[in-house]
Amino acid sequence: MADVTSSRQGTQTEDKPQIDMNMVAIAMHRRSRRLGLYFWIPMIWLVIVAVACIFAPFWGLPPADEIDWVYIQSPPVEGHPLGTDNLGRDLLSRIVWGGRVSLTVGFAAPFIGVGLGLILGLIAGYYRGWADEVIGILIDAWLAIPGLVVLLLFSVVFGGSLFMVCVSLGLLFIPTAARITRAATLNYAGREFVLAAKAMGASDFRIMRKEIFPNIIWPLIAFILIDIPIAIVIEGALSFLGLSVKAPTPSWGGIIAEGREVLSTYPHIAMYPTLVMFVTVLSFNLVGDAIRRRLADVREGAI
Amino acid sequence: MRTARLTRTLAATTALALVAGTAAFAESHSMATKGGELTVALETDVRGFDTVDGGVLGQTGEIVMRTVQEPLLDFDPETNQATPLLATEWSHNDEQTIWTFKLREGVKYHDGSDFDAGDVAAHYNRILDPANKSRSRTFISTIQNVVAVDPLTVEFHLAHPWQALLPYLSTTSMSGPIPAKEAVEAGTQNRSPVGTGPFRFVEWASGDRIIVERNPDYWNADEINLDRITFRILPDTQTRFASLRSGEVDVMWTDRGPSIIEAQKDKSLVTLVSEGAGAAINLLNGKKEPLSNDNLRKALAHAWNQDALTKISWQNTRPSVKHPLGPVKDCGDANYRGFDIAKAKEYVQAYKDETGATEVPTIVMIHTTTPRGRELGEIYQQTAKAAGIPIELQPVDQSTLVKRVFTNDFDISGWRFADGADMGPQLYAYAMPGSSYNLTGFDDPKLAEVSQAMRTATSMEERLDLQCQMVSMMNDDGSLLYRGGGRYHAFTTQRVKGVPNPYRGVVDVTRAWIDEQS
Amino acid sequence: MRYLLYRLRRLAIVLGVVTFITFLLVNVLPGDVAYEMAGMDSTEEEVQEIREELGLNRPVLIRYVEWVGGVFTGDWGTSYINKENVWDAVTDRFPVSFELMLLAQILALSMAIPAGMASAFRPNGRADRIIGALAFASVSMPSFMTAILLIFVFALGLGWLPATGYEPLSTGLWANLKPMILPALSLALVEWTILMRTLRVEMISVLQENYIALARAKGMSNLRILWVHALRPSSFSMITLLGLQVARLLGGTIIIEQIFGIPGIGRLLIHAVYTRDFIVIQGCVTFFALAFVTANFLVDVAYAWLDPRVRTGGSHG
Repeated sequence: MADVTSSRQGTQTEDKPQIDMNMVAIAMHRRSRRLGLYFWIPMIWLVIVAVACIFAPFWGLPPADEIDWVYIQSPPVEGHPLGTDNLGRDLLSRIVWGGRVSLTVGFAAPFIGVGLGLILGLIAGYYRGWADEVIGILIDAWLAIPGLVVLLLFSVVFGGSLFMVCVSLGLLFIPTAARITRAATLNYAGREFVLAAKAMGASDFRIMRKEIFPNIIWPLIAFILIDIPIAIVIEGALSFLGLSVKAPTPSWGGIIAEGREVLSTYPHIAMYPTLVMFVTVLSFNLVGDAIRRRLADVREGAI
Repeated sequence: MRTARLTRTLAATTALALVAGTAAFAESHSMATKGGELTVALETDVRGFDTVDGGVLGQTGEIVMRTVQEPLLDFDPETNQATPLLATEWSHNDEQTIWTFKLREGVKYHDGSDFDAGDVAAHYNRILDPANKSRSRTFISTIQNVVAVDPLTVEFHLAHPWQALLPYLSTTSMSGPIPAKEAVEAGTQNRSPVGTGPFRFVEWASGDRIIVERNPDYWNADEINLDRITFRILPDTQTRFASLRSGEVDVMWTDRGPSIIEAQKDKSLVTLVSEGAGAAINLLNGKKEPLSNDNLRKALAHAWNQDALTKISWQNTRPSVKHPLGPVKDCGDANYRGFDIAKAKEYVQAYKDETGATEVPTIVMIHTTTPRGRELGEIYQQTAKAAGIPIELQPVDQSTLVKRVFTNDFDISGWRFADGADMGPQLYAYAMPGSSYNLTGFDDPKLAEVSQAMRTATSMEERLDLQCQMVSMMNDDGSLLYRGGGRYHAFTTQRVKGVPNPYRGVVDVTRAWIDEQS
Repeated sequence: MRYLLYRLRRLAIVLGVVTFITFLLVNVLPGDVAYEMAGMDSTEEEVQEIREELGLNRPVLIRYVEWVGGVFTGDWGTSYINKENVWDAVTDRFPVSFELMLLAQILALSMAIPAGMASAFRPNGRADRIIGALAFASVSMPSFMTAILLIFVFALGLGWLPATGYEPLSTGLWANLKPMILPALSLALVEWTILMRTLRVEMISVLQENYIALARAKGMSNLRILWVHALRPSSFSMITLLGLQVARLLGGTIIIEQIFGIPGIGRLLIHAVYTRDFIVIQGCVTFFALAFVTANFLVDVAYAWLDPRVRTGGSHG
């Protein structure tokens, strides 16, 4: 949940000194330029998970909400490779369909947050003045309300649909995205090529789109990469509290919460989704990290 | 009368509970050791102890209330008779409209003041005054007023004969417990209650714990053993159970099937079980389309699988029932509509023929976001689908659910018949046309007639027979579906003795003691 | 000084915006406290009476202004559900959450400092890689699952620590700490990675400094160099981060408090949300915001004190 959000603070500061021109950093750099096993193994897992989830209807799995009255809380048996849950529903099917929810939220929420944050940050950084002031206050206010409280209130007000879960989770990513954008925009808004475009009479919108946006997109991509696993974890926490997508739609956090009640008697119900969620989030973290290093390299080489 | 209660045998409980339960009761009260502290885990916080400000107490609130305040009467669930508590004897006139109670002598409140008829009269008249908007008033409005005749005699004047009087005077869930007049007038009763009970209120940290300590001046001090009881509020079932197993609490109340099953298997825990009235139910809203159609409602009634729910969600820790009156009354089959997909399909067909519709419209079911609520919705959705009725689930939280039910904004919703010593007033409120608690839209003059007769019945037997008739008519209508009757569980560690089975779900820890040897 | 005044004014505006947003949000919550107060056994008329009595039928803006007026006179209102004074409720719970958070930070630090130093000593060496992998693993585990597993193993399995509960400090230090260890650990297992990474990065660059090379040349032991000479100059960002996380962590304890049955502010809040006790929600959020704003202001003050340029410049954000 929210406790993970600040990993970005740590990892961001991490990049800069690495780019510093000193021997150790350069050596490190060379190593990190190759995408090693730390990238490929998690990547393969992610592809497997993604394929499994996207093509879920084609695997011939029993429907995720169908109750098998014969097997209730069953360990793995014929027809239910991972067993069944409290209501006798196929666990594998629920995990696969639940993955659709987790992955959708994982991708959609950061994009929504970064999209909105980008707009706010661009406006604040480009126009400065009172627009900057107002946006700054709004962002500070938004930061002052703990993330989970925002989610709690939103899910109670609008709760139930996948779309609303994505949006309310996306809102959490706005402040940081806006700040990153604002800082980057400030940096570029005074550069020669922007001033030149201005002198040539280009519209503000065109300048932002053509001159500034391409330059500030990289830190935002890095930011999205960090946020995907965070979004998945927060969605899990929401489901765990019963505040995410509505029943009978499965989601990983929801299956874990259901299985928690019988953890000591039927541990498989909670443990399989936990394992899948853990490995997936870990993979996203590792892949994201590798890609970010690569991005840093590319940018470094380009300048 | 206390000893009778403690040593009573257990009727109609599971074999396992029999073994575990009697062990705790076989030991006579004289073996009790004095002193010690007890920690009890509760599911919810108390709203407040004042019946006007705090409202109706849940089962967990009653557990605390019982230690601090007492009602006029006690109720013996075995004989189904009221027994003396703060009132020692009572009588009524021939019309059964004036009841006279003799009060116990020498009873003192925790603040040192005397308990007398003035306290009783002030308490009830305050509830009965419509200006105070007490939530208990509707249930006891048959009482017209209460008069203190002399310090130890009090009279209840009724509008008509009313068999529910004694059960309602013994309830601890709302109007029953008698507070000190002074504390009520000072406005402190709600958060720091003063009563005549065996324990004195010490401290209440909302959402965390309530502490009470022994009242040395209790009128029956010999029976009280513990020095102090701490009630810890632990809303999460798993957390509560983990606390019991790791020994941080001694007594736990729960109604979650998996925890009950697991706790029953645990040899280091003692299981307490009791059968009760009431039932968890589904409401089918007959007040609006599409369920105003009788055939569709009956189809859904047959598509409801109570046995599956009690098996899966309650793990058979609650019985499947055909009426909410509890084990005191056998109503036979009571027109109960059991799970029968074939019949459900017939009714669906009848619905289509009648309305000319080709499809059954989607039925909206609201349920709580708790695991309990989710399972309920998911199971009904599946069985209804088999009968060709699509159900859409809408998870909402408790207060939204209550709101939507009251504002007629639902097709199906989970609900409950609260357990009561007498189910009459509740049935009456559900069945009467025009009653604002008639949530499913019963509109049958015959049912209304039976309900009236039940209300003014002059004997308990007649009253219960009429209640059976009411239930049969309600079952036939198909708008109230049972999802498990009243059976209550509590668990204690081995060292806790003298806790009776949780009658109506209320664990009475007032007479408990700690036995360190076991 | 001008700068600080400017910041102060801005933070006041932020507080105003926060409370107003919350007030609006809370007031559009479906279902309302009147139904919760009335409970299942009451009628619609009774509910309406309660609404009338609480003044819930009046416009939101008027109620907001009244509430703000109350806050300034020290009256945060009383809970609709159990009639508890909101200020008392919040200040009773806050120390519990604060203690949990503090313990979590201490645990996180005690893991992060040695791990960060070991990593920084030989970047990309074996220790660095193992620690990095551990950090990734531990940040990938949702804290609610960590909590459940910790209870399962240490409380129910081994019986070393209690599964739940909270004892006030008055019952003794160990009695107070014992039930806090597992919840603090569940939080710390996520937090330490962030601190560790920050420390590692900064320490790597510090270790390049000349005076470290000098110390090495003098034949000082590695351990001594790391602890005595490198740690202090490397820990500035980490300490800043630590301060910032205090306010944020307060919000993060909600699930943990729920699972471990700790009577902190998070549990107060979640209960208030479920029961629509909006005056309590409002109180909690205001308190969170106040904590956040105070922490931020203190950071500003610290910066202004450390760096004179900030005092006169107008840069912010």
